[in-house]
Amino acid sequence: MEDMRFLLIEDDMEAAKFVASSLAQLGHEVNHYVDGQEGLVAALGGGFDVLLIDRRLPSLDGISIARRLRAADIKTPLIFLTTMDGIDDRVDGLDAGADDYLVKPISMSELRARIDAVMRRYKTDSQPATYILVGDVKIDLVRRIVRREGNDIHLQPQEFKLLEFLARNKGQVATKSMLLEHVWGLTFDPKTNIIESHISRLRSKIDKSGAASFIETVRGAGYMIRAA
Amino acid sequence: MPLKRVLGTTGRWAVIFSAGAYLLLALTFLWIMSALVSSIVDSNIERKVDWSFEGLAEAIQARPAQADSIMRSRLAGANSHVEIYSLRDLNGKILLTNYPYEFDYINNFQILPDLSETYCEDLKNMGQDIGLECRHAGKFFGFDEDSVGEGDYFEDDSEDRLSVSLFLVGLSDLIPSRHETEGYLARSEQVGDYWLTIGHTLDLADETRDVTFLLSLIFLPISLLMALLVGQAVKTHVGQRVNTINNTCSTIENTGNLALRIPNPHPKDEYGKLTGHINSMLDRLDLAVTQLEGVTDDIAHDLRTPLSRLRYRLESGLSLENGSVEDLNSVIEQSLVETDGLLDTFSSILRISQISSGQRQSKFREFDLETVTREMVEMFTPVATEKGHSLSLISSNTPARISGDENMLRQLIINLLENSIEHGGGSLDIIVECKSDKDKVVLSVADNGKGVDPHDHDRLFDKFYRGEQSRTTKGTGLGLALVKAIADLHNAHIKVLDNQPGLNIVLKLPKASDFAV
Repeated sequence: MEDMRFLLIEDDMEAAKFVASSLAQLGHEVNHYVDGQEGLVAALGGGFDVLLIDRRLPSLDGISIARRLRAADIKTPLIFLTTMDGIDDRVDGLDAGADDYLVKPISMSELRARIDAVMRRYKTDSQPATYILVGDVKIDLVRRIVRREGNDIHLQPQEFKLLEFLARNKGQVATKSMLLEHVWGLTFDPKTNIIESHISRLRSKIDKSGAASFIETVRGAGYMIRAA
Repeated sequence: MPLKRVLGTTGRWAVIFSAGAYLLLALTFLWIMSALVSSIVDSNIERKVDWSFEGLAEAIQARPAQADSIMRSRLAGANSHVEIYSLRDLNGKILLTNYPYEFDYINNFQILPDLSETYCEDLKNMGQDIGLECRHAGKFFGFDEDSVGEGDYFEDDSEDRLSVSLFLVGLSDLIPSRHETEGYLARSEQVGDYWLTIGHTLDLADETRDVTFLLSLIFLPISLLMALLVGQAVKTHVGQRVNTINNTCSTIENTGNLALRIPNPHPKDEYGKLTGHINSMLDRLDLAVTQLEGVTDDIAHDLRTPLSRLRYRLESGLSLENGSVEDLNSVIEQSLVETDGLLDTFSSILRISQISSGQRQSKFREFDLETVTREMVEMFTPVATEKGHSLSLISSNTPARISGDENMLRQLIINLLENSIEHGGGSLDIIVECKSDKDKVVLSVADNGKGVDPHDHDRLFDKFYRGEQSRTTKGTGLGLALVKAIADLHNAHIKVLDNQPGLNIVLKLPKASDFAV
């Protein structure tokens, strides 16, 4: 990920400091605003690669900022920052034109993964593909089967969805909560580590014996399929 | 006691308005009543005069020879102040009368007594104007009968007293007439060879009216006073009742003592019902606060343990001498695990209170619970298998449509599954069932694990309740509380059954209405 310019509108100074320093460590540039109105003016000025906007802000809330930006035809990727109890806000946020959301407290790995995913979506601009090819694994999205070295691998629907999501995000980390949301439609984190079990089943079906796993575990962050 | 203090500010205006309204009403009533009374009395007098006249006329016509004695016997019994009779010949000459005033038969002059001199003078002038020969001496006034012409008098109604007097003593015109003036009602007609005149005083009607009016005038203030007294009594009674409520409420307000209740000796009347409502509201508040206090204690207790562990780990990391990067990383990772656990507890508490506030029903959509259940079972199968359990779904494969929050129902199913998997013990058979009957969708999660003592079934859904065996296993103690909150939000009935062995939690949800596809 090349260096990018971020606009952060956040009135919680602790969270802002954390996000800004995390992004700075990754080599990005961050402009921080505390006030919603001022932040909107800065966003309208343009020149940012990603907008990170808190839902609750002084003078102008996040949703209103998103609406005005989208109304002004500014399509810069936008990620909302919400609190734990604001899960319902998510739908409103996405309706207002946000690309994704992050639940506080924000972890660095989550922040990074979400930014990557949003940027990728933004760049590829999703043309409908019929298959995804990663190395020697071909994922047929129409017939919903996987081929590796000429063999058909039969997957359960949920396993297929899991593999598809990882493959679409190849080269990038998919966090636990991203997988829960996109594969199982859960906006909360069950206590049981379901993903681990599903990943190990998937691995047992797809991996070649003796070789490194097709699906890589990124410690403390999530899972990833390396771009071939 | 000043009116203001007795009545209070609102009471004062209410009394002024109602008193005004009362007075207006009473006066109208009074006016109608006296009009009614006098009209009744008038018509009674008229009937009486007619009845009397016809009776007498009949008797005279039957026996004209005895007219004189018939008349005399009638006059003997008549009160001349009320009833006046006169019998004349066809020339108008008075034969008999009980007219009380002095009458100069000889000179054929009638004397009207009790008049003022000026009045007599006026009458004299008036009489002369109509060709009447008049005299007056002092308070007496007289006129010559012979000078009375035919049909002159009654055209001049301006002098009622004169005309009626003339009329009554038979000096009037000889035209049959029924005449009413102020004070008298009379009938005068030819009966055989006589002129018969019967008059009746109207004083009685006036008197009745006056008495009615007078009585009303007396009763008006009395009834007003009584109304005020009754009103005051009601107000005092109401005031006492309201004061009792006010006193208790203000004590609660000032002391915060939710254990206080308003005494309610008459629970059946309106104030008793109000008191009852306030008391049961206080019951609920008290219970809620007690529960809240309990939960707060539980939270404090349940969070202190992981927080202490976290602190211990961080401290041990700090005290590592010459610790390698790996050692420090391990400390940090362990600390992160503790922190995540704490955050889990917090988000569960937040979710429960958010769901319990009941504001989320607006987000309800119709969906198929069977599909959702199937997905959740598929999602948990690998985990269950890894832990040595068998997880199976019994389903009729027909849609079980309910109206609700799909995301929350997913959480509910997951929490039930996790409860079995985490707390049921080693290798279990977990059976999830989703079926739909006529008006309910029934979802159940059953296991054959250690189960819960039936005495504790009710407490299973309490926040932070953890069974004896679960004390040592991981979890926030909030999973089933969240299940209950979600079930309540969906108007679902939830029941814990002893699966002998194991636990069977059954949920009955209202089916989505049939008209929606």
